Amino acid sequence: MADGNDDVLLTITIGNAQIGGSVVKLKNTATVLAKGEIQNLKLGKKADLQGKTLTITTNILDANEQTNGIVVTYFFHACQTPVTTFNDKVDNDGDVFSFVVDFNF
Amino acid sequence: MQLKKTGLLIALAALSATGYAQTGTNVKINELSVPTAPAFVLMDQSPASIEKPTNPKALSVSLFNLLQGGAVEFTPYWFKDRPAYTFNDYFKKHSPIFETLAFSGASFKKDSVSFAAGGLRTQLFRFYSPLLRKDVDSVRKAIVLLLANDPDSLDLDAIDAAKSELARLKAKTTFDIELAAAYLGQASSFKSLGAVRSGAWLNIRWSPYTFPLDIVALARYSRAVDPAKTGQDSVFFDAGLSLSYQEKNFDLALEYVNRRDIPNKSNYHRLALVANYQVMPGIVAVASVGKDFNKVNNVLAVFGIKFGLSKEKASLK
Repeated sequence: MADGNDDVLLTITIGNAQIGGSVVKLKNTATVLAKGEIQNLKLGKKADLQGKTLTITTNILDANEQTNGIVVTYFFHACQTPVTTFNDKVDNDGDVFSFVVDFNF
Repeated sequence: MQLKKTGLLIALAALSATGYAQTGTNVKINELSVPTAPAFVLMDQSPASIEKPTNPKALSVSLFNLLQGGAVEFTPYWFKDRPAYTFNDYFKKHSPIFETLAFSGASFKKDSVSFAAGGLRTQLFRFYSPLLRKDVDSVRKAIVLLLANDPDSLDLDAIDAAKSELARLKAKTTFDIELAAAYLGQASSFKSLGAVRSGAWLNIRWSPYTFPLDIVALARYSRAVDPAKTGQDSVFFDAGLSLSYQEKNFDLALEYVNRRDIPNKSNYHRLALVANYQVMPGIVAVASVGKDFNKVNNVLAVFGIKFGLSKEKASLK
């Protein structure tokens, strides 16, 4: 996923005017790299990330009474496929939807 | 890449609809308020179940089902996901006309006559005071932190409480203007649908965040077709102003409503001062003085005690 030796930065955007929080970890480690709102999180040099897996948990609260749709965008700066978007919907107003996503570098 | 998803239920919201007083001259200020779902109000119906399609395909199915009777409510703007549209973007927007433009529709059959209603509602303008914005952002940040956990470790009670607080704050717009309109028709078949009622509402509200005062200006145009076609249609233009002050156990409201009977070229007005005092939970002392619409016997003077089983605080709204 990563290329070159630039820093890889991560930004997570919660769309549809909903509210979300994320936990970012390297897979199979207990160390939390960041939690909360994730904006321009420096993950490290691309070369250092090669072969590693990033596990991101994003919980989204349906806070928009106009829609039950939830959508999250993961943006990795300086990667070949920088943008990944997932969408789904909650069954009831006010539900929480959880994404657990593994990104392989 | 693997993806695992889990849906967790936190809470439900309930839809409510108020009654619609079309005929007579006993209109009150709360009856002029912009209804949540105008179509249902015009029908004097609170549908048992309302379909809420979230995409065009589901909408087409809902509209087809509507022909057999039922109710539907939808907001077209959100049929499409908005990945870059954040909570802050939405909250800062002063003119969320499209985001809040909601359509409602319903149909039912009574004897051999079919009734169908359609309505829309939107928020033309809104403004949150800087202090209110700050408080909303604080709650939003608290929710973000609560959500930044493993799904199995989420504190659902705390999230639910924060969500309720957020909803309470979001509803306290400092200034807003709302518009709604609805149409009700009846026919022996849908092909020969004729108007029975139609109406339009406009609501302008100012509510200072740090002071328990609420000032609302309301206007409503309503038309009821004479079913026998022997007389004339009822066409009213109502304009009202409400000023209310609310403390923990005490409500005071001054209401003025002017009704213009357009076909008869006449005016009525109602002026009332209403006070509620919660003596203890479930017991509320009520007093109302003023002048009603009627030209005779029009003095309003009501004093009484209301007993309730609910623990909710009495409110004038």
